[in-house]
Amino acid sequence: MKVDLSFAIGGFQGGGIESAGQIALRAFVLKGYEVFGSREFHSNIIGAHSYFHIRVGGKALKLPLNALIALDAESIFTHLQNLGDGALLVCDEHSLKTKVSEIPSMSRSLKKRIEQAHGDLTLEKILANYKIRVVAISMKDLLKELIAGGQSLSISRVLNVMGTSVGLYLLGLDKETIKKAIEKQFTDSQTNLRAMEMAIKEVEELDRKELPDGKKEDKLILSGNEAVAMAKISSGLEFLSFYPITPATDESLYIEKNGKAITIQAEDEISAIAMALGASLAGLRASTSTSGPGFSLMNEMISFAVQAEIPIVITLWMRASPSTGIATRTSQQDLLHSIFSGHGDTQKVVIASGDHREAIEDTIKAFELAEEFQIPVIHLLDKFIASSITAIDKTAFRNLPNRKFNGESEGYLRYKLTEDGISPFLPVGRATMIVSSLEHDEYGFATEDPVDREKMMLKRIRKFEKLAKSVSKESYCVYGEKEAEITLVSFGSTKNAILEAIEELDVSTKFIQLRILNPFPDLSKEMVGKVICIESNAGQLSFLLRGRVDGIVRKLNARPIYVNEVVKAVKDFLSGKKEVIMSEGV
Amino acid sequence: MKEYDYKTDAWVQWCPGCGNYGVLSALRKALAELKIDPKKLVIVSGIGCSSRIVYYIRGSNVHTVHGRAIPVASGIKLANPGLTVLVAGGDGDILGIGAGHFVALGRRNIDLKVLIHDNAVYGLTKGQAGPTLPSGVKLRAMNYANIHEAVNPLLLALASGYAFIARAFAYHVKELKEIIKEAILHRGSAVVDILQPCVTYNDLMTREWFEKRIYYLESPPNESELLQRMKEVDRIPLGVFYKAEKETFDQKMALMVGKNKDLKT
Repeated sequence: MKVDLSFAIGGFQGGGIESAGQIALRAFVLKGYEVFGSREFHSNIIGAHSYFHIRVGGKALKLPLNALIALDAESIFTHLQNLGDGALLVCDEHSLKTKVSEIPSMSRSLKKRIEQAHGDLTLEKILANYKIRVVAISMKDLLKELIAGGQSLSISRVLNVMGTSVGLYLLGLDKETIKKAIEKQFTDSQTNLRAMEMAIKEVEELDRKELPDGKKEDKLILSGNEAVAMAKISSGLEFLSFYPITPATDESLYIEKNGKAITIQAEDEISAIAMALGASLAGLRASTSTSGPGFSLMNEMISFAVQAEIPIVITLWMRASPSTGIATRTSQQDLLHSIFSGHGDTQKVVIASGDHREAIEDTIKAFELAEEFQIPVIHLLDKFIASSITAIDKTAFRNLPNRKFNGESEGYLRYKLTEDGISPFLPVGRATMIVSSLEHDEYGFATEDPVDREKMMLKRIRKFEKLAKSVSKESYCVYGEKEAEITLVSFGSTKNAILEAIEELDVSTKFIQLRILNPFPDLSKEMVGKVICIESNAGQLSFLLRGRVDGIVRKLNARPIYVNEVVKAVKDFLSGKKEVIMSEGV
Repeated sequence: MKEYDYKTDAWVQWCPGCGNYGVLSALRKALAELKIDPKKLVIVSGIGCSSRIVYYIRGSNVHTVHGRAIPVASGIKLANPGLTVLVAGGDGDILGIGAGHFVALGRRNIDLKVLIHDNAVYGLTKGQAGPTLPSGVKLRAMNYANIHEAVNPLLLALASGYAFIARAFAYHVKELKEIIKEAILHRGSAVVDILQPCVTYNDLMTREWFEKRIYYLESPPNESELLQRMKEVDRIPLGVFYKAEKETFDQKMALMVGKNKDLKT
């Protein structure tokens, strides 16, 4: 039996949504299923609507939802439009008496849209028109009972466990699995286990179909931030500097806590990259991590790293921009910014990962390229990957040997002109040298001589050409049929939604996933039939492929891409639409 | 080691009479007297006339971009605490564009020595007002009199937490050399504000102008008169103003690093 579920757990920020989602993910992993969970939240500390979207039996998100576990009324209103026929809704009795006008935290626009569609009725009345299964339990009564039983510890924190337990149970998980997931989630789980027992007891009489066991494997459950952090640690990272920014910071804090690298919170992003460059010059494997606004500040130092030939890995977690945009939502709007970052002929590597596993591989690859070619490598990821969680095979990680240095300490030439453009690298402190931001000669002395300048330009060009050649085979992946009617081109976190979508499309489809966007590969022989770009921005990849693209499918609402909307978008395109905008997600 | 051992064969590009020559000479002498191995010496500079000093002293030097010498030097020192790491830059570089980093270095107390070549103007871009130029002054190349207030490097350093704060005069090579040596030997973040007349663009704060005003402190002022000494403008005190022994960031960092277990993969 193929199990394919898509459900959400929603509530207010600070209401335990994170743990609820983790419990659900763990439970399905324990049961032996493939899971993928994505967290959506407001840029706010506490109060605004937040949810976890979980997909079981796939790696991408899909709508409509098969179930919604709503810890408050706002969650039901918010996700109404995504409830499929026959969907299960688990909620508190009290929520059903609520009208949308009574919810202060909801955005004015969403409130208006709901009022326009349904009027200001109670949820009970609105839901009467939906073909869904409502399971409302009285959480208030259960809480009273818990308190009477002598449990007093932050009781409101168990609401999430109650709702989640009921939802998971009705979706077909057994009590034992749910219990194990809760035990794994909390260090002291007694109150939560009691809450789970009580909540499930309320629905034990109801109809449910138990899910069969899947294939049980020993896997790590990781967010994208954690996956990259662990990959940096396993690669032997020695120095990390960062300035706090959503959604990048969690990666740095994980490394600070679990790694052996010198980890330092800088005064700004300029300092973050500058310190990492200093550490790299002194011979350490160094990195920094940021998001769009911080990356803007790092641009001058990227240019410096190119001119002075300093290895560095910059992890760029894209979020919805421009400017501060929406800090906690996703997008792919920094593609061109990363490729064209820095002033001057600033050759650097840009690698984009499609999912957690690739994020790990690419993190390690980024260090190899940075060090071999003494060049900045920008690792492009996004908020969707940062805060989504999945189970990862431990074999994804590998260790790198220590950084290699070569060069004689006497008569050392930092910028020695070589055939392949790569000069011997000795850290500062091992030979006299000048590492220079100015155009320089082989030793590093500043020069404006036209012959010197040309030689150094050609050296850097040769180096980049060698790099381009060495990565050409791995710069993109091809899926689907070789000769197809349509070719979809994309990069980054859209990967798995597109892969699932092409399974569902009844037209022969090829998918080119770009892994390395600078140096940009030659795709001319790969693009067959009609070419459609799919991207979460206004059309940056299409710009890079200009002249060869027949259609652009864009996502602009700062939400992840869903399988079903990719299918629909391609169909729309084939039926004659030239530009399609995907708008799913709440 | 001799002063000569720190010379490179690069042509020194400063204007004749520039205060930077005094800094260059004093620094080479200080390094020679302290017998610092040029390979273990890292001078990190930003951009500007003074920042060219990295080409004129044999070391394992780094010429960075405008205003960012301090964070680059911080990364180097944290990565390899065994190196002698100096930062050289103008007042525009360190107290203008790099002011945030200057403050951060004081807060961190990394064992770095910051030499401010303080001439109150931007020389390489031809004479605009620098952060230390007094208000109301109109120099040769400026369109209007300066309407910014001047920043006081010593007070800013004190407020930021520097462990060693001194002021020197570029033409007093012997005294400057002694102060630089003391700064290098003092463990922690150190700043030496070097009054360094720009002979081309600063036609007010000339060598003669300074010579009429400067005097030497006999010893670092005690706490009650420290602020008053640092604030003096009519007469300009030189010497070491402040010295504090405290744990450095690189020492604290060394304790933190390596505490985590190996990641099993």
